[in-house]
Amino acid sequence: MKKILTFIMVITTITSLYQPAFAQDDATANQELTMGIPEVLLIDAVNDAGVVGAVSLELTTVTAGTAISGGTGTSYAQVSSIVASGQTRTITAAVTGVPAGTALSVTTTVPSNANQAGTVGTGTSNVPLINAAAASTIVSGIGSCYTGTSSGDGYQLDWIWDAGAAGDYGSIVATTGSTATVVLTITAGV
Amino acid sequence: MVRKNISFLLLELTFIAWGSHIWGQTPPTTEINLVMDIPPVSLINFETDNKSIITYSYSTHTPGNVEQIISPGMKNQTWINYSSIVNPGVTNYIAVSISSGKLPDDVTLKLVISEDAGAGSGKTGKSVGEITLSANSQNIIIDIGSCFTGLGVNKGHMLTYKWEKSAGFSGSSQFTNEEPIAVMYTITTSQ
Amino acid sequence: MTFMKTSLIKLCLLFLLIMQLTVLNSQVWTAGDNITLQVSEFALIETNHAPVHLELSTSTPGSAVSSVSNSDLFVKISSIVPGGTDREVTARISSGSVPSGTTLTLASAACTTTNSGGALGTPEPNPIVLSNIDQLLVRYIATCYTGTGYNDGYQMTFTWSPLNPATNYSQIAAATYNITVVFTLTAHDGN
Repeated sequence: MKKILTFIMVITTITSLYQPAFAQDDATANQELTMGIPEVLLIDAVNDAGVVGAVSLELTTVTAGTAISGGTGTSYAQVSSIVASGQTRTITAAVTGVPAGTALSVTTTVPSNANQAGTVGTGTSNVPLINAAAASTIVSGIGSCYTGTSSGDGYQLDWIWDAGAAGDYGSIVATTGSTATVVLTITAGV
Repeated sequence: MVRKNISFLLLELTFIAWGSHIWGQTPPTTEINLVMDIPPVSLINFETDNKSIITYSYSTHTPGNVEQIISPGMKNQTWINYSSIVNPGVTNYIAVSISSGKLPDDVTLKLVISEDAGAGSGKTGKSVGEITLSANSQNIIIDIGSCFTGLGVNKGHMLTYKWEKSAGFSGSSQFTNEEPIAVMYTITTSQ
Repeated sequence: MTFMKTSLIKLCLLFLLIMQLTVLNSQVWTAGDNITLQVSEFALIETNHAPVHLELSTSTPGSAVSSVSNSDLFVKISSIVPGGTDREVTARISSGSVPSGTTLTLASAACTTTNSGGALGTPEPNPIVLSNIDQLLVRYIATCYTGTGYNDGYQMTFTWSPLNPATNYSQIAAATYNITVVFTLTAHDGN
């Protein structure tokens, strides 16, 4: 009477719901990534020194008999834009505070230096900005782009300030430190 | 017997609905402040044709002063051009005086000032008409607001000098020295 | 004989008592003469199911959208291989595609050490640019386990960036993109 205890130990058959993951089969795991590119509309304005600050314009003459002229200065609008497929945007400008009898206009040159990229759109020339009037489009066709953030980067806004219509000249008065405010808006567009 | 069943859930779907939010300021605007200065301006100058023998020069003291040197043989017409920007509520005016030289005792020198020819724009001044020049300053164009006359002949106000001899004037001996007479024009702001 | 029988019964009862005290379960009593111990080769892989969200954006007007990284995901494996063989972890995109104008890379860190053991392999030194073709992430994985904790295993870093923005930036379009990446622990190279 000889009893022999046989103890069979088996470690085996480890299974997976999705993959047999056994022997020669590859085992896999899936991971879903959610990747978002939200729309971006960012705009900032700096002066030609590359910092936020007022631009000083002076309207005067040094020649007797001539009208005052030559109030010129430059600002830069720095923009980051990400649009949905097929969408474009515009930048508009509206102004308040231009002194009576004078006229302000702006010429906008789209950026072209090495610090920008993307679809920067099309600029405009000599767009009159009239106090409290509806905003005027100064750049159109903006897609996904950025302009750069350094001094001299961005949409170049050349201000042209002159005497206004001839009939208004008599309403001009001397002024010091008068501030006009230009509001630039980057719109959703279509 | 030991048996283990290990099950791994290998698939996970993570789905986050992404609103179409706009990243940036709301609204996406920026402001530019333009500091706009229009300094007061008061400038006068003279224009003649190319045959002019009138000379003039700016005073060394104030830019609003212009001295015109005239002499008996000169052409008798000149044009005064000016540019003016005034502060609210004030005006500029132009005055004239003989600043150097001496007229013969029996000669008077008159100045006729036309109205503005209209070549410019704004509130040009009003002529006083005619004066007799002397060493005392006299206004000739007043109520000048912000304006400009245009630059050149036939623009601004025409000035005509008139030499007048007295009834008893008997000869030209008094002119032999041909002493030039300096006439000073000054544009000034009223207060 | 009776004594013999009684003694045998007592002996058997004693033996059963001892067995019950020492091995209470999992015994199989059979007749036979072999002892077999078998360890099957196997390969298991899963992730910690961390949601991976990436967002390309910027908050500075004038600047390009910034590269963004996410290192939340850990890949865990268990692997037993025949002697002298090894496995690899590879990754590819199985659904969705990387948005135009951007690039998505993936890099694996070395396996965490806290709860792991065995031959855990060597991550590739450079990130791979994910595509729909399997690319190597970790080589030379033999018999090992990574641990099962949330932050056990190979930490995966996804990096999403604008691709050559000077020329391609216009292609970047706002939207939400869902991409599925498949990690594969390959069959050992002895097969």
